[in-house]
Amino acid sequence: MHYRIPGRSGLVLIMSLIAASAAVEAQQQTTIAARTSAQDRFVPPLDRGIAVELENTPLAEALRIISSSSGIPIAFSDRLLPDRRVTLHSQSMSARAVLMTVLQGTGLIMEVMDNGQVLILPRPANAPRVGLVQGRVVAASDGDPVRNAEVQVVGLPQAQTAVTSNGGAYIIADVPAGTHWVRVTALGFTPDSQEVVVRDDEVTTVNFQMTVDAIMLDPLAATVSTGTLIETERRALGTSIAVLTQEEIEQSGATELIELFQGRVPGVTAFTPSGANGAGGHIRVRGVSSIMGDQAPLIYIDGVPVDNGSSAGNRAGENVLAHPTVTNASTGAHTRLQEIPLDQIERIEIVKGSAATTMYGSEAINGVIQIFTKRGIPGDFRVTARAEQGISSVDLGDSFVDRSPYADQIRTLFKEPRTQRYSVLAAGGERRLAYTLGFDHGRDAGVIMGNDASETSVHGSFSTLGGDKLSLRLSASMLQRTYSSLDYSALFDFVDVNAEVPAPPGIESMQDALERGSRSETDVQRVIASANLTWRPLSILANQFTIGVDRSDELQLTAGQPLRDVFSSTYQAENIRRDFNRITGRYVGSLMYPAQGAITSTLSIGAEGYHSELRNLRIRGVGLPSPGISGLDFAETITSGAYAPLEQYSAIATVGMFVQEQVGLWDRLYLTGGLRADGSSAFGDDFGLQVYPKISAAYVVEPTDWWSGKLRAAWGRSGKLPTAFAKVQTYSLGRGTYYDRPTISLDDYGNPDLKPEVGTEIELGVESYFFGNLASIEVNYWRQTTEDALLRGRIPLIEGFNAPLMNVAALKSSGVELVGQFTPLQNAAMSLTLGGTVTHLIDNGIITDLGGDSTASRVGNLFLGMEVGQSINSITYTSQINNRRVFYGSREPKTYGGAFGDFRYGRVRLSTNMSFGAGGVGLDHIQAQEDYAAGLISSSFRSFDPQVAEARYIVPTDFVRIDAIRLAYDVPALVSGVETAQVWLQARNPFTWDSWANGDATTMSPVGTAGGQAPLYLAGTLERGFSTPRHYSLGVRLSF
Amino acid sequence: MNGHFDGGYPMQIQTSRRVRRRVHARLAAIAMLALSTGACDLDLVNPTVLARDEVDPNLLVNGAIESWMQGWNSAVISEWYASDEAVSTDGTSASNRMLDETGDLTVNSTYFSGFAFAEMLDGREETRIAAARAQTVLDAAADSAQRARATVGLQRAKAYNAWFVTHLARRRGDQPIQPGGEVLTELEQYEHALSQFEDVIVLATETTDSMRINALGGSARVSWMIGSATGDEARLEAAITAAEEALGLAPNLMWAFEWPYAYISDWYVNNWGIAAPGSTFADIPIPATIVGIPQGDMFVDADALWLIKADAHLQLGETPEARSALASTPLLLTNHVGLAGRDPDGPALSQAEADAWVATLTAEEVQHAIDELWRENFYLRGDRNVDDSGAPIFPIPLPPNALEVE
Repeated sequence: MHYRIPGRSGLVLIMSLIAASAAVEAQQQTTIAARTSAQDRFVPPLDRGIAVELENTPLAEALRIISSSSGIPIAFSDRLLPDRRVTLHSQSMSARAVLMTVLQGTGLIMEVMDNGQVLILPRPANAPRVGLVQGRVVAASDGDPVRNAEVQVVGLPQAQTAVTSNGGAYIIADVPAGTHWVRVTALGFTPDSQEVVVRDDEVTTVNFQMTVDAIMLDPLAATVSTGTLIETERRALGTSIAVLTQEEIEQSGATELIELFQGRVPGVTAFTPSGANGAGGHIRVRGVSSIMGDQAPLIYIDGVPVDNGSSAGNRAGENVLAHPTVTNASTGAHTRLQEIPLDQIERIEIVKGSAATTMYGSEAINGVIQIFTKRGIPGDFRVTARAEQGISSVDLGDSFVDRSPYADQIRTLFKEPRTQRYSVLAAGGERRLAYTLGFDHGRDAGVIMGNDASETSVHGSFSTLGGDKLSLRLSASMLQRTYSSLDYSALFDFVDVNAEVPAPPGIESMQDALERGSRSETDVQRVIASANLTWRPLSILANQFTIGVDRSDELQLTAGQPLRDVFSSTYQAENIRRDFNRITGRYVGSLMYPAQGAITSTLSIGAEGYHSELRNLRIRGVGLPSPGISGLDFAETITSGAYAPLEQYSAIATVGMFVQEQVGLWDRLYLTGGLRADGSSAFGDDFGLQVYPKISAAYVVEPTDWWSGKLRAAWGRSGKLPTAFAKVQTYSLGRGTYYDRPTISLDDYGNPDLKPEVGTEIELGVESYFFGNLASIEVNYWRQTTEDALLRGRIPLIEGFNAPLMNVAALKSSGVELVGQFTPLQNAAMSLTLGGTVTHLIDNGIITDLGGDSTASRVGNLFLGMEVGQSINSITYTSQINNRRVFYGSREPKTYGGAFGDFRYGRVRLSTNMSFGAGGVGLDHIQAQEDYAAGLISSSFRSFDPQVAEARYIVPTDFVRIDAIRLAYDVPALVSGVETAQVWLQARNPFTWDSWANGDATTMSPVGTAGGQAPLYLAGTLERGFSTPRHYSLGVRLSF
Repeated sequence: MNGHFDGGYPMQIQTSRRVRRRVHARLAAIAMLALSTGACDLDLVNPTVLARDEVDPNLLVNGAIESWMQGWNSAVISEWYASDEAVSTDGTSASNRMLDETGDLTVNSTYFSGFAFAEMLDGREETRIAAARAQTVLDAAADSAQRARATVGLQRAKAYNAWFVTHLARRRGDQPIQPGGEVLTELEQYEHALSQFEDVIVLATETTDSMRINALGGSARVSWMIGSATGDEARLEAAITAAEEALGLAPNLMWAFEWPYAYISDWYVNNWGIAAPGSTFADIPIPATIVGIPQGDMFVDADALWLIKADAHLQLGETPEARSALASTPLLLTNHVGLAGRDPDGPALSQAEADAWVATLTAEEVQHAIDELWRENFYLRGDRNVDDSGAPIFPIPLPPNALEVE
């Protein structure tokens, strides 16, 4: 058993950081206070808080005082003013509220001109009879203002919704006179409502005292947007949808998106292949669903599907676009998931399985993750600044390094670097234009030499309302990310396993390798933008239009001497470009009629279309004058490199149309049926549309005093596109390897009958809530089969790497998920919440059909270990002793999950997350190396009987890891202008136990295993990744 | 319009809303129309690859040769291992792993299919497509220059297709020779190859056309293989005739894909230079260990044609003619297998010494000499491939259900 605890140097540095950060905090607070006086200029004058003291003051004088205090020119005629005196004391009421209050009952109205001037006019006879509702929302426990609470006059258009300011105040204007319910919701509090009578031309004050909710929001009343076409209450959902809120994201202590899912979401695994910067990672939802396709879920950001390509795309057929991405040979691949800063995210919804992803069509078989970024909301101008500094270290005592005879040399590559991350978020505006502007910057020097990474991003979101029925939201984010790396795999090999292999010329020591060996620099620039227009011409009819753009440019420059080339001492440089563009358009129209009563109906129809294109360029220069030069102008020879054509292009255009009907019966039973039909340029010419149906039912059980719950069942289909041009017979122009002359080669044989892989899933689930939502438990069973799975063509056609893709195979996965949460303690002083998830994969990618064969036999070495009845994830071995093939199991854990706890005492909050995995197996390659050195085996292990090989080399890869411990303290507002302040101390991955003596069970490489689904072989399988680093940080967040 | 005119701003709003509704409805209609239009035409063009009707058949033949050689390289080495003609001492290459996993190609050809055959089959298919394309181009040729170039393309495509079909028929036995095609027996594949060679000969406009001479060599070899397998004397006589004509036009004929370093490089990478000949074949050096000997895929050369001629005569009972052909085989003078008492490390035999030795041979001894020289011809051909007991390893059994067409 192996334990990792913080190193002494890490603790010393943390204490130093605490002291340094305290000084920084004091300085920042001073700066912030100085800025506060200027912040009001960003708020429209009429909505600014003003201080007025009116005591029996004549109305005309009162107006002059208000004008003076607010700076707003107010024009009025004395003869229109009634003889009236007013009394009003305000320290923070908005100028609008003050004006409405003093004009109350006078028969006068105010009208705001374009230049900001306010006219006081007689009220028209046929003017709408409206009043103003205002108030303040505070926490019942301590009276602190509740900011960002949403206040709505029930029944009025969404436009008449307010969000509370930092002081908890809100105003809703133009509320029709009459009796209304005013409802307030806020994250972490029980929703509240009050009935009020709004009188014409009067100000009505409605204050709220909110109580903390045990499970944040009523789970069945909360709404989700993913998988349902229109925002839908959870009670009506027939499938399981996981939601990560902004608070959960913050409490998780995650620094990258992939870390959010570790142990937190049932049915989802998230692994990184190594602890190196740029190592990428992969998220898998409910096991394996494709043989040749990658397993990456579909990612949406603000309603727009975005690029989620990974290194798996290096092999034709594995990625939707089937082209190489910029890949770092030693650290894996840059993944798109790293390009979404967590500080920009407001909420994440995860839809798992084809029963829930039907409406997303032909790219949704691996699940859908929908990310909603922070949006502009009306309210006072607010700024939230956040700074975090930390230190990382990696435990080499539980990796291949520890038992390597060359451990001392390898250890010299590692270090304990400093990390830093800063962000600023500004938000505010009014109903006509609300905005959020964010800036993030982070740096991480990496725990291994030459592995620097930095990232800068800006994000903006603007929401505007055109009258009561039209709203528009524009969002855009821009990111630049750079990271560098050495060829670590070659470096490790150089001093380790292949020490008997001749070293490359000129490389005689580790120092030589570091000075002369290849190093790369990768630069990523990405822009994601979307526009969402919502038009509600009637209260029962909603139309949503979305257009979006995702564009990324990546450039990787590699220069130096290739350390794996034992023949050449020349310096080489490689220039790889990857340019991706995607344009998306989507429309959803929903008719909610009848919206109330015993039977309700919501009919949604819509269409979605997108065009994606990916262009790769790879140029290699040979014969550079020195290792640091990557300019190809200096090269003696220019080639496209050994493994890829000079230029590759792929594009996919897909159009889908969908319809969905949801019927609610007596507010208990909800039935949903839907259909999506897709056409795609990736489908064969002889294939038409692919239709994906779904049906689901949810039944909300009659609640008792201590229990409520829901039963649900769903069946549905979704798909996975073939590769972009796999249907077409294509040829490529090149130059011969054996004869130096131009050539044309058959690129892909093409299959005009090509169609998508189709996943069919059935899901059954139970949700239970106990004691007023103080405890909850959810259980899901799912079973998914993939029909028409793609394989390369059969021998009678034409085999080989260019053989056509054919829809001939099938596989299945199934599992059980459990998620629970319990709040045993909750009062004004303290609260405690505990929760956890467990997922057990009953089947994970079990092959049920290989096109009629019992073994895969026609394709390249990727799939040679596959057999019907076995998982495509298995580590396999065929012994020379008896030609017997055995399947030892999967590297992926069969049972996994996590737990979390959140304890609050006054202003102190302690949060922790842990994850675990069990049932996976790995290879003890150190033992194999020792056997090899002792002459017991060849490097291929073939001399052993399978049972002997299993006993010697197959080891369980169970693990338990504390993912994060976070101690936060809400600092009292000691400085004027600072609304909230929080400092925290956080440790990521502080403790890990695993059963794998010579490897790291918490990392898993998608590289070389086709996204994890291709078999590993005992022969030639050497894992060179190192653990995810421990990371200790200190942070501060200020809102003002 | 003034919003306050006649107290009419509510009316103005209503008017405005009607207009806006119309605009929105039109926008929605346009969006739906755009999407529908897009749905009608989803074909995209890949600008970085060629479509079939853009392919130059001559360049496609070049590409077919590259595909073939890539597969051949792996195949020959794998076959050497599989037949125990060479011993793999260690390595990390795919070829080595293939054998490590299966142990024996003749038991399970899965790996062989995945590695070597795939690229060789690509080459065969590319020549088939190239022939069809060349015929199309030839039919559309507008002038003599275009016709000449198209004719060369057609000759090359057919000639190489014939060779690839021949090789693969020997290695894999019964199989289709084109995607979706019917399964042909090994002999039927040879007949197809022969017809291709005859087409090449007919297409030639001059007797000395190099592709015609190559095709004559190919025709001789395939006719001899068919005749040997069936006992068809006419085929054996046709082989003799073709061989004689080819040797008459090109006494030093060598039709081969030759590359000077590939085997050596591959051997070195796979074995770190320490692979060794199998015990049964210790008398014949592995090519990679002899610097300067050309490496590659030999289709036919003068040695092979003389041996074909000698063997065919022998099968026809024409022993004197067989002796004459054997004596004319250039390889006899430098053989490593000790024929005519030659010391493998000593000087070459003189033609007189060879003639004198051949003249003493019985028919059985002539047959033995021919077989030994075929072993020697292994240098370039790599197609000997027999196991320790002398039994050929070909054809390699294909995986289960391999011949079932979808």
